[in-house]
Order: sequence, then structure tokens, then C-alpha cells
Amino acid sequence: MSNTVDGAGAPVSSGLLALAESFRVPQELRDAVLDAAVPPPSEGQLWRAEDGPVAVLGLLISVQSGKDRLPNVLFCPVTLDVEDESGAGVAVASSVLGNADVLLWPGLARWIPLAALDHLLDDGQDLLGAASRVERTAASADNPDAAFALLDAVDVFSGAAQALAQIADDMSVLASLPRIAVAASDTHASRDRTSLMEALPGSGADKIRVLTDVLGVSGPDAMAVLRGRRPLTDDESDRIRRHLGLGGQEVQHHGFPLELVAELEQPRWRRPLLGVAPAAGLAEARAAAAGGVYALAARDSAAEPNWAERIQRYLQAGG
Amino acid sequence: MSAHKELRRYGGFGPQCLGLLTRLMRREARGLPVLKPPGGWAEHAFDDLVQEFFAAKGKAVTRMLYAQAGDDDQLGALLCRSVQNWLIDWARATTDPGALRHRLEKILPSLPHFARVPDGQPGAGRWTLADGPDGPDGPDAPDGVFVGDVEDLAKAGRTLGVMPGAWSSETRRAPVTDKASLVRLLGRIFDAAGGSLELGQIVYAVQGSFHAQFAGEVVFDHRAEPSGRLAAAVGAAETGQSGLATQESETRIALMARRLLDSLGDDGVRILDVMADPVQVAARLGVGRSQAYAKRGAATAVLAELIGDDPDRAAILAEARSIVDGRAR
Repeated sequence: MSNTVDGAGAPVSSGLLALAESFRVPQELRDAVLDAAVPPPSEGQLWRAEDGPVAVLGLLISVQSGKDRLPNVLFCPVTLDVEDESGAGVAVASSVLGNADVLLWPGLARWIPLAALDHLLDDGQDLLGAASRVERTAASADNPDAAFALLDAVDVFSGAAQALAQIADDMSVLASLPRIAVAASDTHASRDRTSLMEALPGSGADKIRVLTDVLGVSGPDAMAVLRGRRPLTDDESDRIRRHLGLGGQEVQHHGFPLELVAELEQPRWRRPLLGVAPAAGLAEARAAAAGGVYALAARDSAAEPNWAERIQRYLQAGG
Repeated sequence: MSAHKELRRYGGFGPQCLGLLTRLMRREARGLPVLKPPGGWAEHAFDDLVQEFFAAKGKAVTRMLYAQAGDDDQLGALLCRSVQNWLIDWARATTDPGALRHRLEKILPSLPHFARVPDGQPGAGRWTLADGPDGPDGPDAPDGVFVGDVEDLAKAGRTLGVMPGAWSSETRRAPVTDKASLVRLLGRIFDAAGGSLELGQIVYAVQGSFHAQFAGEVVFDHRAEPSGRLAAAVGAAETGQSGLATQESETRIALMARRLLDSLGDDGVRILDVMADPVQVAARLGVGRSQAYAKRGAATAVLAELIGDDPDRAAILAEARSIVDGRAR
């Protein structure tokens, strides 16, 4: 034993420290993790995705965006520390991750919001080839139940089974990442939604009063809900729907233009947004930015606003 | 400094990360009763588990955490998951029921006498005799699915009296029965069941069949190879060879030699054959005397940690040197 102690004051074996020294990560990985640049996501790239306590490494199999939907990516989890005796994993070469033991799990692939992507780690040519090879399998696997099919193939009593089950849960968290509401008219699901602003009767003060009564929130909070700075939870939406007798329609606040929300979900804005609102979570920072940028845009008369430029101006102004 | 900051700053585990690993290992290992040593948990037992885990998975886990963990919470959760997964596999490989189960999983599909019950039939996925049970369904096996007491199956197995062979090592597996004996034993168990069995039931029955002869002989030892004679019995049946002990020993020596070389790092490997002489160490590495002592000390610590009290220490070192010589050529 040496004199070295850990954070709890317990001694740490010098042999372990020597072993740890030999396991230091390669410089290529350090460079990739510390690189501040965040390029646009595209197929065949290895990304880190996260939401709160959940973090997953994965390969982008497909990137999907359009005029009537927010951008999503088909994200296939990658592991470094899971052994595969089932043959369900696909070995892939990533020089950044050290090549050895890098496994793709097509059965766990899910469509997740682009907003979940945090950092690009590798975009080597080998990965692009791997992405195209697993595309068909992964696309067909995109539903929560597909994970069970994969887990059926894995020895249920092995450590790998537990690891993969946990990753399947993590993928569900990423797939249900909270998103900023888009104006009903901008979405393909507009028939099933109604704007909070339109649904609430009376003047602005009347609308605020209904919200404070039904949701039990303060006046400023009700104002934030009405203006879209604070998204409605499913339960709140349900309570308003029942109060107004709106049948099966989902109620949301007026929402923001789809192009603005899609731009805000680009990974390159993640860290700048957190930079202007360090105490807030990313979802709150995005919602605040949507409100702020939209308010700025309301003063302009451009027919097709350049949302990226406006987000940049919002950030430069300190949020 | 937090564990995550340490990992990011040094690109590897330092005291904070290793301390976290040790605390996680202690907590998670206690959650697996099958790992509990006969005399209860002692601190060195946890240290041994940490050492085994880190030697086996440290490199991959370090990279995974560096790439994946964005803060201390994520680092803790991811490291915990790795530890849990490894402990499950470790328990299966090193405890008697676990190893026996693992080996039965591998051997049963290769035996024509047994088959899985097809989908859509009662007991789908369970194991049964390939030509079906003799006679009508017994009282313990409605619809051909055994639902009785597995102890009765173990009693039936014991009547065969499968005997152990010669046994000289406390830390090595040895073949104690042959494939034919195992097939006979499984056949007896299935006959007694009169229906299909879950793998867990088979494991219990096989284990129980041997227990009369092996009671008290299976000892948990973190440092030893899997010590169960029951697993050895099935292992021998798997290969049908009597020289399994020798083969496994050689395989283990080769694996340990490679693990040792991985752990020693470049400098440690370069001085492996001259460690006794600091002057030669200094010359080999092109460093001063104090540095030579430090390098030699680090390598010695790795040797002590990995093979310090290993009965095959000399053979492992010889194999490691042989590998190094081969690389040089």
C-alpha cells in the first residue's frame, strides 16, 4: 500500500494505481471529448447522447428532418464493456474508442430527438459502413418491444443481459426527451391539438385566472405557460382539457414555429444555451431561448426569419 | 477533486475513481449472497474483487467512462452498471452452481439425447428427453412439465453413484467423471422427472446428485480458479478428455501472462527479465538510478498484485518472457 488515499480517506493500492496508469485513454479520445466544435449530425457518426442522469454512446444510423416534423435520429447504442456471447452485437471499428470491444446493438436502436445529441466522438469511414450495414435491422427494431427480442437472444443470467436491459431503459428516456411545443398549425398532428391561447375563453386576464384556478399555479407561472415559456405537463394538459370539455384533443400553449424549435434542437446550441442559463436544465434553457428569440422575431418583418442568426443574437445578448 | 474531474484531467483512474470503484464493489458484492465467502466478508476479499475487475475490465471501462460520463452522477451510474455486470459473470464463473449452470448451458445443446421443448407446446423452452418421457404423464408432470420437488430428482441422481477421480490440487479443476456418466446422470434425472425441466432444476438436481460425495469440498476463493468439482465434472464431459486439468492450467497460465504484460506497461515489460538488477534496469530504460528504482518498484507492485501468491507464478513469468521474446523476434 502507498500513502495515497481516496476521497473518503481510505488507502489506495499502489498496484491498482500502476494498473490505472497503464489504462489511460489514448490521446485521440481525449482530443475528441475535449473538442469544442459540434458539427451537424449525419449518418455514420458516433455521438454521445444524454438527458439528465442518462448518457449513451451510439451510432447515427439515420437522420430525419422535414417541414412538418422535428428532427430525429435513429440512434444505435454502442458499448465498450459488454461481452457478447449471443452474436446479437455487431463489432465495429472506432479508432477513437480504441477499436477493441466496441459493439453495436441494432436491437436497441430507437428514434430519438436530435436534441438528445451532445457531442460528436468519431466520424471514421468504418463507422459509416457499419451504419449502412445495420440500417435495415435497426430500423425494424425501433420500438420498445424490440428490445425484448434482443434480450431473448442474450443469456438472461449473464451480466450482458442486465447491461442491455439498462441501456434499453436509457434509450426510452432519450426517446421521450421533453421538447418545446410547436405551433399546432406547423405539425402533422395538428388535427389532434388545440392551442391553449385559442381554447381559453375571455381576455388575457380571464385566461390567466383559469390557469391559476385549474393548475394551481401562481400568476407569473400562468403567464409563462400562456406565453409558452413553460411547457405543460401531460397531467396539466389533461386537466385543462377536462375543464374546457375538449374531448380527446390535446391542449398545448400556442407553441413556436417548427423551424425555430428544430434549430434550437441542433446540438451546437447545447453548451451556449447552458452558458447563458447555467442554473437551468437544458430543457428550461431551450424553452427560455424559444420565448426570447420568438419575442425578438416579433419585432422584425422578415417573411422567412433566419432563426440561427436570431439565436446567435439572443445568446450574445446574454439570454 | 471529484472522480469525474480526475478522470477528465488525467485520462484515467486515480485515487478518487479507484476509491469510488472500491466502494461500489463493496456495496454490489454484498448484494450477491452467492459470492459471500464461507467465513463472511473480509476486507481483503473486496480488494481482491476490485483487483480482478480492474485487471479484466479496467481498460475498457476507463475508455467507456471517459467517452460517456458527463458528470459525477453519470460516472457513478455507469461504473456501477459495469461492476454489477461483471459481478454477475464472475459469480457464474467462480461459484459452483454458476459454473455448473454455465457449462450445462453449453453442453446440453450438443447432446442428442436431450432437446428443447418447441414453442407453442407446454413448457416451451425447457429441456426434455429427445425421444420424450416413457409412459404417461406422471403426477409430478402434468402436460409433460415437471412441477414436483427437485430434491426427488437429486435423490434419483445419487442412486447412480457417479464417482470422483483422483484429485491433487485445491485450486484447479480436475476431471471427475466422463461424458457417458454425465449423460447417464442426466438421463436418470429426466426419467425421474417424467417431464420437461428448467435449466435451474437440472442444475440443482445434478448438483444434488454429487453432493453426497462432495459435501463441504467446494470452497470460495477469489484468487483461485473456479474450484467446483461439479463444474469440473461437466467440464470433463464437455471435452470427453481426461487431460482437462492440464489444458485449463496451461490456458490460465497463458491468460495470466498476457494480463501481466498488459498491466506492466511498456517500461515494465522491457525490464521484466532484469528486474533483480537496478543497474541493468537503468541501462535498459536509459534512466538514472532513482528512476530505475521507481520503475522497478512499480513493476514489482504489479507482479505482487497479479501473481504475488499464485502457485503458478514461475510458470506465468516464464510464459510472459516467452511472449516478449516472441514479439522481439
